[in-house]
Amino acid sequence: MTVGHMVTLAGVLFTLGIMGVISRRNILVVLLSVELMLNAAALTFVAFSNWHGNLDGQVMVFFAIAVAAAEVAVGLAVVIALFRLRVTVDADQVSMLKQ
Amino acid sequence: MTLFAWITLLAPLMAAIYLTIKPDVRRSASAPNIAIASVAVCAFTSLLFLVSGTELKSLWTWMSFPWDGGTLDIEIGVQVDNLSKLMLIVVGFVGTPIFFFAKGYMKGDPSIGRFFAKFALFVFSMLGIVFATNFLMIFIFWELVGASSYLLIGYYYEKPSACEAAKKAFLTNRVADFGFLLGILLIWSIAGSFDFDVIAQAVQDGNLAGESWKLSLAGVLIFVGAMGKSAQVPFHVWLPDAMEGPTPVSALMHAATMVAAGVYMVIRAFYCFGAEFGVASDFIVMTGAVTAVLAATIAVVQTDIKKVLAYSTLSQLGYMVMALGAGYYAVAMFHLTTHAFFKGLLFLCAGSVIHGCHHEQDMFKMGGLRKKMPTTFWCFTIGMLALTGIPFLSGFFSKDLIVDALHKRHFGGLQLVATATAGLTALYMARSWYLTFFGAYRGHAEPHESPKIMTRPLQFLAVFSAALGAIFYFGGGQEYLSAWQGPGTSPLHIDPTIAITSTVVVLIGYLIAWSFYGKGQTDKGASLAHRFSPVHDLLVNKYYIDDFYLWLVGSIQQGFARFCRLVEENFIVGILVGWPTRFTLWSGDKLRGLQSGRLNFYAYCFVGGVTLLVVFFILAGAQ
Amino acid sequence: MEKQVSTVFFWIFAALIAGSGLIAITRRNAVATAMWASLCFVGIAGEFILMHAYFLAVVEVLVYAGAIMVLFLFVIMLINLREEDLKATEGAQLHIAGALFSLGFLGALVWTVRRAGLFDIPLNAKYVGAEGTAAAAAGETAQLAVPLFSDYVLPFEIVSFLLLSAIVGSVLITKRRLS
Repeated sequence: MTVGHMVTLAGVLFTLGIMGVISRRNILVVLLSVELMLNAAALTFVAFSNWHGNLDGQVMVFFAIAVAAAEVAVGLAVVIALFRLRVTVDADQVSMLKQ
Repeated sequence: MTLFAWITLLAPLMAAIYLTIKPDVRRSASAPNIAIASVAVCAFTSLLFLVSGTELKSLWTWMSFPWDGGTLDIEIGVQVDNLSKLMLIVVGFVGTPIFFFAKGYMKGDPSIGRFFAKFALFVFSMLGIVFATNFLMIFIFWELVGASSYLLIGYYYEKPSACEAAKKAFLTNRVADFGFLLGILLIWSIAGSFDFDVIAQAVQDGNLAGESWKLSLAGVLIFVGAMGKSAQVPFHVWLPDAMEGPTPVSALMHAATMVAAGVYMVIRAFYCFGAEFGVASDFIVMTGAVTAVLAATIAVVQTDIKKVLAYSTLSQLGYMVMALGAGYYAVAMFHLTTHAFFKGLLFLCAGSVIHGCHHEQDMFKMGGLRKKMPTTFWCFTIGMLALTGIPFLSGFFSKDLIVDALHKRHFGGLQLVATATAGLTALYMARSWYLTFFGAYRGHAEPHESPKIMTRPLQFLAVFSAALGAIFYFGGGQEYLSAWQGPGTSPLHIDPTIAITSTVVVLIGYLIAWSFYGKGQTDKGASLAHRFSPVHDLLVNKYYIDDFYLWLVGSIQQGFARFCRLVEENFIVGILVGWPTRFTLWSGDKLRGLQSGRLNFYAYCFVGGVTLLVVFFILAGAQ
Repeated sequence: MEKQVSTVFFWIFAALIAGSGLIAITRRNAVATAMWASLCFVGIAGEFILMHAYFLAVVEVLVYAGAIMVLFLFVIMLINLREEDLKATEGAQLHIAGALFSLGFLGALVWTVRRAGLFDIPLNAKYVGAEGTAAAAAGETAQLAVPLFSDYVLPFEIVSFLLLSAIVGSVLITKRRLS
């Protein structure tokens, strides 16, 4: 197998994440799709780390996972707050900032 | 002494500010006293300077700009020399009686505080011109004089005619001031300084020898500025209308000081130019002569007592300007000084008459006031005799010296004109004298003598009007101002031929006036006016100059303005501004749909953009 | 031999990732999405193992499939959407447009990867040297700890602060009323 295979696989995963963000309105699913994209990036990092034979990429992934955890915590908190306010998780219903 | 000078300059300003910001003082009876005190300071210090022979120059740098390697300093200063001392005396000793008079005249006016605040502001501006050390400072105070003149002419702001007159005065002066400003800038561009002394030194050292035509042009431009304030033809139209202001204002500003500021400033400026100046003198003399004759002839047919005096002022200013043009600056200054006193006196007498007749200004509704207002009558008589140049009164000396100056400079024709104008002066002054004080009373009010506070200033000024000419002439006034003599002139002496000629002409003028109006009758004059109605119409309509200006503004300028508006509305607003506006509105309207507030759509655009970028780089890299 | 085994596993995991990912984003029910996503994460962990990133593989399963997904499920259950709320939330046009765009993006990506020559670089090249030699720095726990606590100790501490502030922040946000 080659690095290219692994990066392509990451690309596929990233694309799935984009599709989720673009076409889903459920804010929870959107958030989850973002997680998929993050993981695609992680996959790429590890693939390149493997190629170069050092660990910097893996350290970066470790940090990315930690940051993702924080992001999810805050993001979900926002979703909860939003749901309290609007009783919806539909991103289209949340367009107050437009005005 | 420096401190005194600064105090003199700033006291009226302080008074003006104090009267403006303290409403309780403004309405109180003490408001005039504050203003009087502030101007009395000037009278006191002028005397002090004169007696002590002070010469000083104190500068304060107001602003400083980096300029061309060095700095450009804008300085405010006070300069006391013989010229400014004399002018200080004029302002102080004419101003103070007029302020006292104003206290009586304006008594009972609801906004007396406002009046005196403006009046004090005017004195401050005037003193700024007197003390000025450089062109920029003189220009600043020049404009301040214009502004305070505007405020005072329009003092009765509820009267539309007063507002119109104020606007007219201000705008006319603005046009002339433009010339003044250009002149100042021109001088600065060649001499690199605004300061009178620096410029004078540069001229003296011959540093500007190569710039003589520019210097002459600057001289003419500065004179144009003076033409505005000193109401020379063609900028004279504002002065008669300025009589809409209260009479003390007319006396102080439009007779004694402000209009004289132009003459004073020209002396100051031309002294700097020294011998370099001379090309434009014909132009200046002609301007003065035209103004003198034009105004004198119009004055003959005026019915308003103040208008007569206003045109008389124009005419006398014409005399001063003639003297300037002839290069006899000291003589011009002499006439300025005497004129300030007797014209101030005459205006105050007119004010007293108007006050006594319950604000009636038409001479044909007066008459016989000799008995009812004896003090005013006698003071008016002295002022009139002084103005017309009856021998040994002040006008005699100053006016004859001007005629003599014209003679010395070989302006033969103009000498005749000046002499004839003296006759006209006698004619119109005697006419108004007879109409006002002789015959039977033709009005409906109950004329009465004015209170002491008004007649005392009259008497004070009358003494000076009578005696000042002799004092100046025999007391060596011309030698006193010898530093300001024009190039190639020396102090003049009364020439018996000229003196006798002009006296005879003046007496003829009196005789004509007596023959028409001698008993206070008006029918003879009316029949003459009827017989020569075209001439009469011409004079009554002031040679149609005002109508010409009206036509100029109304047709030409308004037409141009309408054209400009058309361009502005259609081209600038319609196309230059309109099309971008319409495009912005249109595109905004179209793009508004994009701002849906929908998260997915934003992400969609984002991904689309990224994809396009990637594709772009791929294509760019594929080359 | 080992190469063939890893190739087989690569494809198994790749299919797992792509398949479960696709299913995850198309599920209408958010609970199903979360469950399929965890499966996807397991697949990613598998790929990590193939690349000798053992520690990350464990962390992936622990943090993602364990903690984060549990958090998701917790919130989903907390919100407890009714079926009719979810019906109106999808649009076919958006799906198609999104898919087209994403595929365009993927195409561009693959093209780039190809052009960069990444398909010519074998995986694990640095880890299968001469017989019996120790592998180059692989992602075992002890090995990863060396850079993490030496070169990267400052970011490591910063991340700990980030996590702490995220905890405080989310508590603050979700509190019913701020006073």
